[in-house]
Amino acid sequence: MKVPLLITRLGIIAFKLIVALIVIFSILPLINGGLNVDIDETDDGQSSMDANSMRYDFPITITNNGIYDINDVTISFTIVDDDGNELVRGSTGNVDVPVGSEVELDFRMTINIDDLEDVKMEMVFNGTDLTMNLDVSAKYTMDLVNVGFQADTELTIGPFITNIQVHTYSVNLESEGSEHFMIVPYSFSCADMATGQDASVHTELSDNNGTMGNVTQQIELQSYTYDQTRVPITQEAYDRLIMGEYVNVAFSVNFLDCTSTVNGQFYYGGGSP
Amino acid sequence: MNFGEFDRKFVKLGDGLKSVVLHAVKYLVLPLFFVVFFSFFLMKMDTMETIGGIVSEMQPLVLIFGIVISAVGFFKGAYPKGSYSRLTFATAVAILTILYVWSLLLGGGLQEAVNDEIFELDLMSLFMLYMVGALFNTFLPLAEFIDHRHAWLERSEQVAPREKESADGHLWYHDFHLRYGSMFNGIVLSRRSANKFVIVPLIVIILLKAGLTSLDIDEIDALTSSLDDAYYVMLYLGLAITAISFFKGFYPKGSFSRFLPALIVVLISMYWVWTIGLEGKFVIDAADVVTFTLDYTGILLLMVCGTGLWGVYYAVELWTYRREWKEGGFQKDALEGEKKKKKVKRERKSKPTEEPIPPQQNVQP
Repeated sequence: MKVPLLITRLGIIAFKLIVALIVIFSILPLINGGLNVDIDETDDGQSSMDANSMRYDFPITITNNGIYDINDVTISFTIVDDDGNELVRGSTGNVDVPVGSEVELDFRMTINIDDLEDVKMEMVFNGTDLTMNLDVSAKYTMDLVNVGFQADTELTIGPFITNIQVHTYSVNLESEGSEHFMIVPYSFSCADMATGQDASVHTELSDNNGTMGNVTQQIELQSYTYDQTRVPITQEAYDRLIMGEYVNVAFSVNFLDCTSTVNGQFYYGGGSP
Repeated sequence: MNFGEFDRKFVKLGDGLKSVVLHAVKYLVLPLFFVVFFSFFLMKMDTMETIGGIVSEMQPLVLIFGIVISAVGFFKGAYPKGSYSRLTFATAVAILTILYVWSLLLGGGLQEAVNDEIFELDLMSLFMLYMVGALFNTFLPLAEFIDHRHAWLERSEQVAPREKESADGHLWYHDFHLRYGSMFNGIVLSRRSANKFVIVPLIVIILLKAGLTSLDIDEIDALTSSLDDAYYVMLYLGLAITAISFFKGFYPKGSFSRFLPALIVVLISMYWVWTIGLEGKFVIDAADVVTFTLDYTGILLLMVCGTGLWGVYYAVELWTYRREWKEGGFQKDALEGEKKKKKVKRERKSKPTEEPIPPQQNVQP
């Protein structure tokens, strides 16, 4: 074979060999386990909230023992309701995972509570199922290969306040001089995510003659709250109570501007009901 | 008795023996080895016993056809290129080979056994693809005859030798004259292209599809459907490449008539690579919930560029061989190659053997 042809042929073969090696070296780590993604699934990730937002933290560790850098790793999410309306959108920034390194990516999903106005009521007291579109993308093999992974998963948010009860069998009447109070015990449960947050409880007593008294209290949420409210009642209401009558109680819990009310009735006072 | 071109005066025993050995290895020894080995191996496996039995039934067919083809192959090799005798025996070998392969299907028995014990595989489609290559082999002896006929008649002094063509007045489009072409080289290159771009890829697709279909998984329905699309695209592109490759091989190196078809083949091959690479995107959709996307357009474009570099190769080939081809009198490649081999043989024979130098003796004054 003539020399110029031989050189050209060798050049072509060398080029093709280089491309083949690029492909082989990009596949090998996948087979040997050189690329690893660990998601900390303990406690379903860490979650927290404040008055304005909810945060879900998923620490993701990406280990790259391959040949090429993994560039522009991006995790983004979109939360949509049942009608497909977009409620929340967010993403991590671009992260690079160089060769031989282990990078911990703090994937934080922050949901602004105001963005969930349409489903907030349902979310706080009953829980709501939303759809989360998760999108993961990255570049590999000298940015020649783009890998993408999209998944739709159901995301259940809430309920935060459950099992609201007013213990009408334990109500009591107290007097301090000319002032009279009805002691009404109540209880409810709270999700771990919401513990430590501020809420308010409102208790209103009424009878056939109208409102006897009401009170609003600010409380700090705990995983299980068992407490009582002191409802101030008027002297006339007190006099009626002593004689014996049915009392209606409306107990409300307000959290994140959402209110749920539980109604009850009890008989208090002398004489038979 | 004069048997014309079949006369034994034209027979070269040495060439005949070389030919019979080659044919025996290709059509008798190797197939027999594989048939015996696979039937023994398959019969040992519980799930493949039937196929092993079927394969062992091929042994007598391999023996009979192998011996017959080897015997005919002797005559094919013994007679010179360009003679009717060689054409006859070479065509007989090609037709016998087709019958040989057809007989190994055992009248559908092999198909049944494979379907029962492995997966649904259309052996008839595979045989039809084999037939494409076999048809080329059937025309090869005729092409060889056409290429070498005049040279053989010249050697046997039945026609006057052709005059060397002058390069004066020869323009680039004159390269397309049919007299410069070699049918044999054209068909050989066409067959090679058919194997590379049509037969082998389609066999791979048929086997892949049969294997994937046997898995019966919904998620790969899209993949098998894309294999169907790829099948037809590769068939049409492959046939185009095969057809144009004929002209690339037909015309000699250094001619524009070879360079231009070669360039067209390179361009189509680049598109072929792009298509076989699924245009750089691979998507798996699982139950409409999870989608995995692999975009390797960058790597695929590198492969396409690698294929495109062959255009440069053919340009260098044109530049390298053009002057030599012109000065050589615009010879066909097939005859040119033979002339070079004969020239080397003549030079080896004419070189005198060196006698050993005797040791120097001391001369007394």
